[in-house]
Amino acid sequence: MIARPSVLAAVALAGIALTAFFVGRHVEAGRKTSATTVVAPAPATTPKPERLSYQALHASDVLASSFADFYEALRSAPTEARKQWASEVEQMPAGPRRVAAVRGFYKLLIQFDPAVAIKSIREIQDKRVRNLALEAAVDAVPGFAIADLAAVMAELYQEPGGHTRRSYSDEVIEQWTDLDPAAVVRFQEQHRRPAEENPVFTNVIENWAQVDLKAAKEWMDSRDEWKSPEYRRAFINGWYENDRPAAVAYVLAHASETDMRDSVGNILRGLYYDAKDEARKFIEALPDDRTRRTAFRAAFENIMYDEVEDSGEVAFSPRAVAEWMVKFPPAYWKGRLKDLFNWSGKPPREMISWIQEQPPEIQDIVAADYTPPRKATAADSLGAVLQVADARLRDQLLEALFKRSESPDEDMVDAISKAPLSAEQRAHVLQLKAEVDARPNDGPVDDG
Amino acid sequence: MPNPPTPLISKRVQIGIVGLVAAGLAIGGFEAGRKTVDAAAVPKSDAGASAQPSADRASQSATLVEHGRSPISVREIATVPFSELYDVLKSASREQLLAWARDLEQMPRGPRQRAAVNAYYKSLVQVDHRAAIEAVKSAQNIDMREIALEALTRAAPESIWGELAEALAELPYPRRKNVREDLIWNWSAVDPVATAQFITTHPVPGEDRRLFSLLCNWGQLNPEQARDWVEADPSRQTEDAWRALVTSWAETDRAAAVNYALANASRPDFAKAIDELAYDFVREAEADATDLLLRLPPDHAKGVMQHVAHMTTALILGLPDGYVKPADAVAKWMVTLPAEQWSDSIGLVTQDWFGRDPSAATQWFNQLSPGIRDTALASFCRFADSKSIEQVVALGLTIYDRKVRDVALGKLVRNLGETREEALQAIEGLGVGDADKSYLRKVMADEKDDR
Repeated sequence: MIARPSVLAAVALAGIALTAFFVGRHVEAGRKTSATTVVAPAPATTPKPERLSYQALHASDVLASSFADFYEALRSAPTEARKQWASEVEQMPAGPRRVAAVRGFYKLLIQFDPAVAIKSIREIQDKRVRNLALEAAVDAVPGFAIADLAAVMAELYQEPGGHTRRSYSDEVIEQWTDLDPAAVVRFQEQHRRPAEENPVFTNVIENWAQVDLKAAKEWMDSRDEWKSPEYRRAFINGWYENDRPAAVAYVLAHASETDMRDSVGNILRGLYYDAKDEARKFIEALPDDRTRRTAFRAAFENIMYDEVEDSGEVAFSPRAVAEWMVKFPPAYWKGRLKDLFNWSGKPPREMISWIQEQPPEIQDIVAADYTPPRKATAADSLGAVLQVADARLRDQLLEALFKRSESPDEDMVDAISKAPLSAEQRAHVLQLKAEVDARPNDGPVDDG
Repeated sequence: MPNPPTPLISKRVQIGIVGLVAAGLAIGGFEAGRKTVDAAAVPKSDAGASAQPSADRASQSATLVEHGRSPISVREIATVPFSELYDVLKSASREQLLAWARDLEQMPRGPRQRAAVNAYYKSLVQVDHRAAIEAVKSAQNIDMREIALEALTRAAPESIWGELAEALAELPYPRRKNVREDLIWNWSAVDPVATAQFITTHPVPGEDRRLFSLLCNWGQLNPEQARDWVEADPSRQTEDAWRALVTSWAETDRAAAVNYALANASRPDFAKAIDELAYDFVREAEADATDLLLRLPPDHAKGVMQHVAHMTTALILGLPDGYVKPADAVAKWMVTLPAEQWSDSIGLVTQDWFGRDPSAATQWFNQLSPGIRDTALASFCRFADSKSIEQVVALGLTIYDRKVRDVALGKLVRNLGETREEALQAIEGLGVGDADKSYLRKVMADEKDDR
């Protein structure tokens, strides 16, 4: 068969078109590829488009370089270069620059390659530098490397002799505890010091009960740790977070036991914060008034309170706690308001006004607990009480003030002498003070 | 049969037309080929952009990284190696980073949340510290914010302390936890001058605990500069500031620190600095402690010795293991100094030693020279506690000097009761002979000793 010339021409033209298409495609693709390789897109967070080469970077530059520069360089550097940097930082003269270099370098290396970081730290001869490197590693260690770091800390870290704000040995355990409390328990048991009765920190048990109640309970059972009040208390705290109704039921069932006092308080405080209705039911379900008094005391005494302006926490401002307490029968909370008044960060006048607002049936009991705010001066505390119009309440408050003021006695005497009082009034105030001074101090608080 | 077609144009013209068509097809095909590459590149760019999703998409996306085949959410961040995390955090948009922070806030409180928040902020502060600061500033959950702040102040790159300090100074509720002081601690270790400048320009109400953190580091790194800064402004001359300066100075230059301390011993709020300096020396360099005590006025030295005794015997929480020097070593050091310096304090120390090892303590008393032994035992009797009272009385009865013995034991037995009657009854109950009881009744002091 002979093809006609027009068909041949058409086939030839189609071939040309196809060839041109693929050539064009190839050329364009090649152009784009070469452009991508030459100019990498700058990351959103890195201001510099050019990446520093590891050869151009010294470990001592860590203070001036951005993290990204250093990290990228570290990532691209061969092991030899990393070793060189480790050696460089160790050889630097002592001073802030070395501190910065050691800290910056090991913060990076522990994240990038924990095994190499730990190996490198082990090789540091200068104990101060080694301690610094370990501290930096604790600060930045990723979760999966904490176990190894804890081991090397236990072996090599030397607690500083002078002042320090931080205990790095405890901090590494603290971080690990949030991740794997069971592993921490094993670690602390293995690293038990001679004569150490309870090597496992209580907060480890608390965390463990929170994340794996069954395993924590088995550990407590197997070692008969229920007899240790600290561990039992920690376990119950974690249990409360894990399974609140069950923990509450357990504590209620054991509320009369002497060493459950703190747990009863912890549960009450937790419920007060999480669910006030449940807190009320918990109080009602306690076996007797004595236990209720104990519960209020354990829950709300010896706690540091802050005003909401300082802490951002509304529920634990002194006034919020006090207002909730006085809704219950006074037998439960009588004597418990002293701490709250004392921790108030408000001017004395505010708590005095609050006392004046209380219903008559509890006002005396509230006033008897009055304690001036710890930061108030004698003059301010006295001035606030003297403004109370009700003479009976004023005398009650004056007695409470003289009894519990933490101001030096001479300051109080001076405040009385300078207060805008008539001679008769001043004599009365001084008489009250003399009477209070002559009385013995408060004895131990009776819980029942 | 049909006729063959008749060409309308000549063959030459036909060839020309075909040539033109061929050229047109070649150019058109080439351009079309190029265009298809552009068209293919568009979806690729979109795929790249999907690593930086919009705010809306970010808030919905819980996946942080694909680990193997399973997607890992930001809540499990503590399990992700940093090298993987770094790339993800670096390529994520600011909105995405903030959305992840918000997601962490919603986690149930407890160890899992703490671990996740800690891991996230530790990594983020290194990759994009401004995003980390912004996330902390916009946190609604205050408890979570504290965990995040702790992570920031631990893991921050050394080059951003100043920026971080400025940002944290604007945060509400600065008194929660100790982040403010921790940051100053970390920063001043690498740049105390800038830290001091920041403290100067950012005063805080009430007692400034940042001074302690600053001067602990500065006093070691450049004590003269630190001293000049403190001296320049009376508001910086707090008890904490002095003790941090002097004790950290001594870490690098004991002689200079001692000279400075002695020259300033009478300044207000300075006494605690000397107390601490002395105890540090007792623990680490007894010869320097001796030198310091001998150069102090006698009354001041007595007070310092009381501090040493207190540190040796008190139960102080939070001290590192091995910080407290054992009582036997402290007692042995004390008696190398003039007796008037330690006579009021050694009893507390030796009681502690006696409580742990009565035989060693007794042996030590007995090898002292008579005068020193009497003074030490008199002090020992003064601090006797009820647990070992018979043994203490027995030792007290061996004091050589009669006057010293009478006074020491007279005070000891008077302290057995609140009233004289109670004390006399207590003597009756002692497990000592009748002659000794009679002697103790005779020498009993009139008033209780307040020790």
